[in-house]
Amino acid sequence: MTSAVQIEEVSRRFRRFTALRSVTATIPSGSVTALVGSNGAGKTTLLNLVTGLLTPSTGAISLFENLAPGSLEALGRVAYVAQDGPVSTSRTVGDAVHIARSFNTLFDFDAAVVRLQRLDIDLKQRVSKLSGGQRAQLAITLALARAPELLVLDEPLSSLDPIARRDLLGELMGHCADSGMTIIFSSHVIAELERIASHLVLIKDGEAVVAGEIDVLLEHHRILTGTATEAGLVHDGHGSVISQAHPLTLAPRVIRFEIPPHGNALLAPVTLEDLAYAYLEHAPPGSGELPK
Amino acid sequence: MKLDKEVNSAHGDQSPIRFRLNASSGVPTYVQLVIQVEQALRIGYLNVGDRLPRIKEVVESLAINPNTVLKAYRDLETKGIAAGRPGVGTFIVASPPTLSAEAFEKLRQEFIDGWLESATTAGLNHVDIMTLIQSTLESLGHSSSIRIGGVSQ
Repeated sequence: MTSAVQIEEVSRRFRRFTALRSVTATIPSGSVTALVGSNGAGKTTLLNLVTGLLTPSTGAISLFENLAPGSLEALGRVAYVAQDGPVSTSRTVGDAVHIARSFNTLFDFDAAVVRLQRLDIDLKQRVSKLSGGQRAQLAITLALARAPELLVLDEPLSSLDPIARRDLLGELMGHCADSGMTIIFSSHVIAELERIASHLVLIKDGEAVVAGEIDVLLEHHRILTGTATEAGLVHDGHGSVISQAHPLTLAPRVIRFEIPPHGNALLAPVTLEDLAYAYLEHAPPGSGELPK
Repeated sequence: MKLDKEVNSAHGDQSPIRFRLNASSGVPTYVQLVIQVEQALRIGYLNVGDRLPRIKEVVESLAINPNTVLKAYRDLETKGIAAGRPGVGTFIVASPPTLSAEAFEKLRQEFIDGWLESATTAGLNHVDIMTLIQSTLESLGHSSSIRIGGVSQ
């Protein structure tokens, strides 16, 4: 399988602050990758690196096997919808569409206009008068009209209402089915990712603590519903505890296994949400003792 | 899970069924799709020769990853229920064998009077019972998808 994005040992420092620390991840072509992490974890920095708006302090990123992010060849194949829509300087929606057309060799003008009409966004409307949701939709429209091979979305859902979110996700999945487009998007809302994402990159304090195919990740994690002794787990070789429940809470203990266990009644399957929360809240990967 | 017969089937190439998802059921999405096709066949909404909805239609209406639909259709193909024709779509080629209402009721009653009775007497609650059933099926190598023996042509 070819990769759309290859991230190797990438670190990024801003003066004394290290935003990303030795991040390694492969994003296969045609995948839908969810980038999850708490505020300030480094999600936007990583997206800016992938799209070439920033360069790594150390490490390397390649797009489509051999292109540098931000290179002319890469720019024609990647669309980035940043969190603060970059179209805000245009006078009207129509101007924004015309500008996007003249800046891109490949741009489906008709598709852009049709999409804006469907969303009831008037071409004569001033961009500065658009709501947050409309502005996000304008940015997404301009990105989709370029028929990118890689679409990068930073928090695309945050300003949209529930119906618009569902419609947008459906629309994006339709594009994936049609053209095999690769999508990377960051989000806080894990429940919304579960149905559309095939891959997950989870960032905590600048480090990628989890990266991989979601089905495989879920297969390798379980929730321990009893004690380790009851479940017959031993310390060596059976995995590591990702989250250790506080004695007074009923929070589940998530355990990572090298080999997926089967037929153990005290080990329940995890959901993507369980897995993400366990990594975001608790110990770094691979550490921790099995609970007694 | 509900099945909607497509009311407006003006287009001859439209599939008779439309999928629905139950987000809170805990049943994996692709399994829900497989079950809905099997149920539609059992109650006659779908018949041999019918086309399943195109992958693009399904992902747009349900907002799910295309691979999930592919996985469901591949599962139906493995079971011999559906077959893909490249560039045309996925079609129903066989029905799963139907269980008569009496046979179903008999199995249900046996389950209630037998195993479920013992489990309740032993003090297992709802969650214990679900966990035990799930892990047993898993350990026996069954997927969480409902399997119905062979396939009647």
